[in-house]
Amino acid sequence: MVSEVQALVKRLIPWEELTGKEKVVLVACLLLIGIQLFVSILNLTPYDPTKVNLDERFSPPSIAHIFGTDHLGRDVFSRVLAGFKISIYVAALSVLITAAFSVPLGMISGYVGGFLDRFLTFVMDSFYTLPRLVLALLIAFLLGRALHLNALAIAVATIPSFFRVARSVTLSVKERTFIEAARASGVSTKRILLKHISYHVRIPIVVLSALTIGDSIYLLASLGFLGLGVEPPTPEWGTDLATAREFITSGAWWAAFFPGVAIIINTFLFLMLGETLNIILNPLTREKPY
Amino acid sequence: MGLSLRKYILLRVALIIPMAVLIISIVFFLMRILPGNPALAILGEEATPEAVEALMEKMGLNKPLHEQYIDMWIGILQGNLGNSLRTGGLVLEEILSRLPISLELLLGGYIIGNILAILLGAETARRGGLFDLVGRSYSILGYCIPVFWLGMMLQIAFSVNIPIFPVQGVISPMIQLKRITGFYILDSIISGNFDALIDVLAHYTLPWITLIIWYSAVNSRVLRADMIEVLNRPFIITAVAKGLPDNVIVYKHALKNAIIPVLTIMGLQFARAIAGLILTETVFNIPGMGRLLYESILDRDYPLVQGLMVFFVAIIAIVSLLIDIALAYIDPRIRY
Repeated sequence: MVSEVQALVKRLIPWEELTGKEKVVLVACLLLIGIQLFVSILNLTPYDPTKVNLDERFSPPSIAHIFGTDHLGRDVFSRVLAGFKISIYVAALSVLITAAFSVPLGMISGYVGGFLDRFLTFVMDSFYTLPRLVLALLIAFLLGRALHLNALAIAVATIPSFFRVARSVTLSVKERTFIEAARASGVSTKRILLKHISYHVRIPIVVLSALTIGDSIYLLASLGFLGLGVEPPTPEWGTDLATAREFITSGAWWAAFFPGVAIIINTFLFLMLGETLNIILNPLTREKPY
Repeated sequence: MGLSLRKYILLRVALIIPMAVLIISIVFFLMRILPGNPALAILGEEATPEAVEALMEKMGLNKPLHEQYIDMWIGILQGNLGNSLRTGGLVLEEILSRLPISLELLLGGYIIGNILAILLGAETARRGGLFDLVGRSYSILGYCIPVFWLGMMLQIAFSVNIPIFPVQGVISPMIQLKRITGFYILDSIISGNFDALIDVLAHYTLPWITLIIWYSAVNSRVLRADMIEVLNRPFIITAVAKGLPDNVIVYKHALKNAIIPVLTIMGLQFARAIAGLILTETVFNIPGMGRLLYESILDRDYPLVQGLMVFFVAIIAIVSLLIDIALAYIDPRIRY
């Protein structure tokens, strides 16, 4: 069992072939995401992120509170750390929902072609015209403020991009000889889609997922900032930023600065992860030209 | 078979209509199908059933879905998007009164941002080395920075700590400005009111900077990639061999060829520009359309939210149409 897992990982990530830079980026991204996940899930924050301490309102960064405290005397560092849990949960859940819905749809649309394909592409392109934020905003507004509903809103807003990728990969793969051979030897359409085409769709979707998680963290924060995110006092970066905005003239920059830095770092981490995965997983970009 | 530019434009216009119809329909059905009774949401949980019933009657929500749908289209065709629940005024008038401010912000940010992106992209592609590294870091950072956070940091730095620019709003309350066109900058120029002009520009500076950084970052990256590709083509080598100055090669020969994907991206990015506008207006409390959307969402003003959506769709559709036409004009291959 262990050796099988090892073999699988080895096949997916050709470690020996990676350049030093790729190794560093991959390990650094996974490590930083892992540490944040570990700390926030096990609640290893120095203070309780929701504990109010009115004696210590707006205390600037110090040794006791390295990121300072907010308008209710809550420790900003603890809130930023705890916020990761919410962001990654909503982002990952929304990507799962979207992928489960739009990848099969895109594959079928691309494979079947004809009217169905033209219709679906038209619908998705129209959807794509609306900014993701506006679409997510509208749905979050209608559904209400809750973790899962936010995830659903972001998922719906993300459908077109997953659909497009799944469809375009399917379109390029279905003309290849091996699909023709499979069809000629009597393999059913279902099996061609599930076995042969999904094998090729898989990698771009994994890459897109990593990139989209980064984007969705940002999108969730935007929803939170516009007052449609998770209800306070749950620590969430966007909602915390919205609260900090109300006290912006107080001069307490730390309450606004650090949640934003957390968003930047995590968007960046997933961007890097996605781009590195694209290089690592895609055998075509891996092939050395010389 | 080739199309003349005129025919191409007509074709694009014809294609954009079903798209707009579809998006508006999606918005309509999303707003009706998703759970939650708007009347109940507006009145609160304690409202009597009669009051809820009366409000639904007033909003036309108790009619069958298809009648509501037809009513909406009749309204849109007549330029009537219904009445705002909060103010009772016409939705279209509310939106139009906010439109000039958003346009001033958007045009300033979008145009300057994209010019900056083109310069940055061209220069990073041409110079390489440290300049390229800094330029690339800028574009990646600009992509990751939340636009609202950027705005807040600028506020903290240049309005609170070093009070150069006003924190929020469009114009100081003490300054009188006669509203003629609704555009603050234009109005102050027309009426020759230079105090007002300076005040308005001071208010716009930080939001503009926010939007410029945000727009320029992503586009400069796209242009850089295209420029590098174009600069390696044989006709550039010919130009170099002819002894043309570098600036002419980069900005005349290469840019013309690299700009087409950038214009396409600009069209796609315009939707993103709207998203940035909503967030920026919220940060700086600027009473434009984005701020109106935010307010109407907080007030659960359903007709206003729907009207704004229709408006945003229309603007995005028009801009993408204009960019398509510009593309066809620049590059005749697109028409064929």
